[in-house]
Amino acid sequence: MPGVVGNVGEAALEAGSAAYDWHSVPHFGSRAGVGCLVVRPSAYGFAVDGEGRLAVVRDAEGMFLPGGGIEPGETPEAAVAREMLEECGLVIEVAACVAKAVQLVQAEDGTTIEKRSFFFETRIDGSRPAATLPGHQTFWIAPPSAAELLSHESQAWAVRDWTSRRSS
Amino acid sequence: MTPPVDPNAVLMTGENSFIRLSHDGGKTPSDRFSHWRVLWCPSGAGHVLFAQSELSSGQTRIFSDNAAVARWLQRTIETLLFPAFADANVPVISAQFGRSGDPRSTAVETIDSAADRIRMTWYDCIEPFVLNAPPGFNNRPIGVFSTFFPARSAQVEWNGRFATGQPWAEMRGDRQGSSACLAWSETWVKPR
Repeated sequence: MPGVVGNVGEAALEAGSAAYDWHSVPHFGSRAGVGCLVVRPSAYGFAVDGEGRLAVVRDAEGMFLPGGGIEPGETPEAAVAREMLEECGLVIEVAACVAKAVQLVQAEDGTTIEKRSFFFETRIDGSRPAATLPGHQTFWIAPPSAAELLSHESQAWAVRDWTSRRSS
Repeated sequence: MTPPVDPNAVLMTGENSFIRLSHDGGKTPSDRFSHWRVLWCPSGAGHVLFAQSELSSGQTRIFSDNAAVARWLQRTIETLLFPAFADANVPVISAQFGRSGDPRSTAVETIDSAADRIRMTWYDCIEPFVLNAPPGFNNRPIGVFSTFFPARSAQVEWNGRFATGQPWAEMRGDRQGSSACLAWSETWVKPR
């Protein structure tokens, strides 16, 4: 599996992530049928508490790293900060982008969503639980456990890749 | 009407019978044995015993006939149940596993390694019940469904020595339980 690591410049990201050669990053999932393909730039964060546990979020769709789709005009860093607050009630500082991957997800209408995902290290500056949107439950679990439980293979891969490079 | 299929994804299925002993009615556990019979998990099938006991001087010991299954259980489930059993630095001791009896009289699990012979025994079992703890219950990210046979009495023999603590009674919801239970038909799930 090719490891794709490096800091991501904002300028390139503002180009809607199309400036990257997304073909060269790890791909997960498959495209079923002939429905249309929608590209969705996404950004996720690794938030670690004082005991070395990683934040993961459970919602109606499964278990995920905090994060989600990048809104038009939004940088990946800003998206991670926004999602971390909305999903976990965490105020964070976004650090380096440490991995990128593509996850194909099938929508109920047959559309394939290509999630071009950035994974960022973050630092927790505080918490605002009241800012959390309904329907999200945050769990703090050891990274190896998180890698087993996350619903998207790309996120499990990113956790393993990030963990192995932190420990080496 | 509730759909007949649980919406979550299966993590593993098998058994996770346990014996926890104490000298003071559970305030201070003296011995903890977690016995897994894994019929299916992503790392395969096999048996694992996690043990921390007065008979091991309080040290954690891990016995298994499939080390990959033991490590998978550590990082996926035991890390949430009892972190001392999730320590990946503890070696996995190769062992053979056997069972005999049933909860209507006496149920026995045996674990034999090159240096150890452990015999876990449950008896005087009371009415079984089904544990239903979906993901999110007790703030745990994964869920479990299991059939518990609580035992009023249990003992652990390790190389001819017996743990001296006793199981204690405890409630599970409105059902009478015990710190020593056979836990069969156990399936762990994660949100899909």
